[in-house]
Amino acid sequence: MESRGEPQPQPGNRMSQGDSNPAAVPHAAEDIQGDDRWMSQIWRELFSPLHALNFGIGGDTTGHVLWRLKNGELENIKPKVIVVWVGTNNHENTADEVAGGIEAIVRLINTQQPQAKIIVLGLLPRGEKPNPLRQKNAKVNQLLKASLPKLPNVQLLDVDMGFVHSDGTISCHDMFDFLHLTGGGYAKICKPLHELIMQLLEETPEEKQAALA
Amino acid sequence: MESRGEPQPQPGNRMSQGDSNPAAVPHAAEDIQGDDRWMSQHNRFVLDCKDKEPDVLFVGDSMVQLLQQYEIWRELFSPLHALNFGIGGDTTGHVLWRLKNGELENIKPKVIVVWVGTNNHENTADEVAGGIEAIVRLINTQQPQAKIIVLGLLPRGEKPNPLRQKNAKVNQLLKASLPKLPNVQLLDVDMGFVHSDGTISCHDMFDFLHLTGGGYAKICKPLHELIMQLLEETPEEKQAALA
Repeated sequence: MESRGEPQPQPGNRMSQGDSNPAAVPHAAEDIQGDDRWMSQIWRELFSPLHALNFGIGGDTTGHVLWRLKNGELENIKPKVIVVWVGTNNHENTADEVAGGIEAIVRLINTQQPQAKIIVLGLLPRGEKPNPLRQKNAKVNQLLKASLPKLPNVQLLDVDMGFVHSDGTISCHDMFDFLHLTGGGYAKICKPLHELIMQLLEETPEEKQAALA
Repeated sequence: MESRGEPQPQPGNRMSQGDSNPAAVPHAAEDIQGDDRWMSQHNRFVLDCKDKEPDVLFVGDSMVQLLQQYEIWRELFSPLHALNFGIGGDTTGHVLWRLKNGELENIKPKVIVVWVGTNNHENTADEVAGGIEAIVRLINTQQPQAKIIVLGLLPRGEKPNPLRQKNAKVNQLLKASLPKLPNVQLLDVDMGFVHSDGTISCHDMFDFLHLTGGGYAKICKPLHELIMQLLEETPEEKQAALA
């Protein structure tokens, strides 16, 4: 994939090691102030019945999630499926670093929860009009598309349901602040997500090999 | 009210003047992240003013913005021809700038609901109250027909912490100062969110700041009631109600 002249790191190696990638360094959030969302009906309809827990915190970066997972949020549980969605708030990091941070999360989960099948959700485009963060998020997704197949028990799911219209704009009917999804926006992404989760929950080990081939 | 040794400013005077109160200085948000979302949202609101005719306008921060994401908005406020001009993260200065730059143009709402102040981390309680008063004064000037409801700041954080005291102090200051301004009242929407053990439940505020659907349902009862009352009042009834 294009890197526009930036050095191309080895996916899955240097960038998911904490010592050279700040996005792969676990850190707790400073309580600077607090903060960023709503549980629409869709959680109760589609995910509560699957005995799902939601460990999302608004504003979190890959480093915050890594810290949380290392500090108790994977203890005493044995989920069959783990959905990871983080990276859009890593403003201090390059796309390569963000992808590495996500890979570090996947590796950590592989270690602590070897039975769990991981779904990494692709970062969505953001902002009303074309802007550098859209390119950055797309690059993170491209990097993950190349690197995640090399890790066990994980797949990347692209949940961009055509949010960018032909004129390059995103509608506030999908993302009320051009970042966070509305109920309607969530309904769109939850179709493929719910389908994949159901598939992974029902798969036997033999079926899984075939599905991922 | 106590001021713990601090100088007591004249409420409504010094603190709602921009030159001595930073919370009363209108300022646009900088695009730090790089996708210009704040300005995009502001521009949408300005466009809304051009082709819509709201009877009720909500303006403020995420407490206002998120309200529109729940069913309750469609049930209680859409039928009143309400518009929602909330932007998450906004301070009094941001709201002042937006109201001065198009968000009060071409419309003539009967009721304007203002809810902002909890994000003013750089300001003291006095400054925040002054910033809210500046917003009220601006609305009085631009929308003299509008009846203003200022919502009190809610407690925040799972356990007792300084921001709870600060928000409570802002409310106390407003309770004293708003009666002196025309066409405005303070509505306390704290529906007992702090339990007897001092904690706030994540069932009311999922992140101990933002309301859940259940939390919004609780505050919308008195809010909706008051809005309905103000929409129906004649000038004579209004005098009596505010006495």
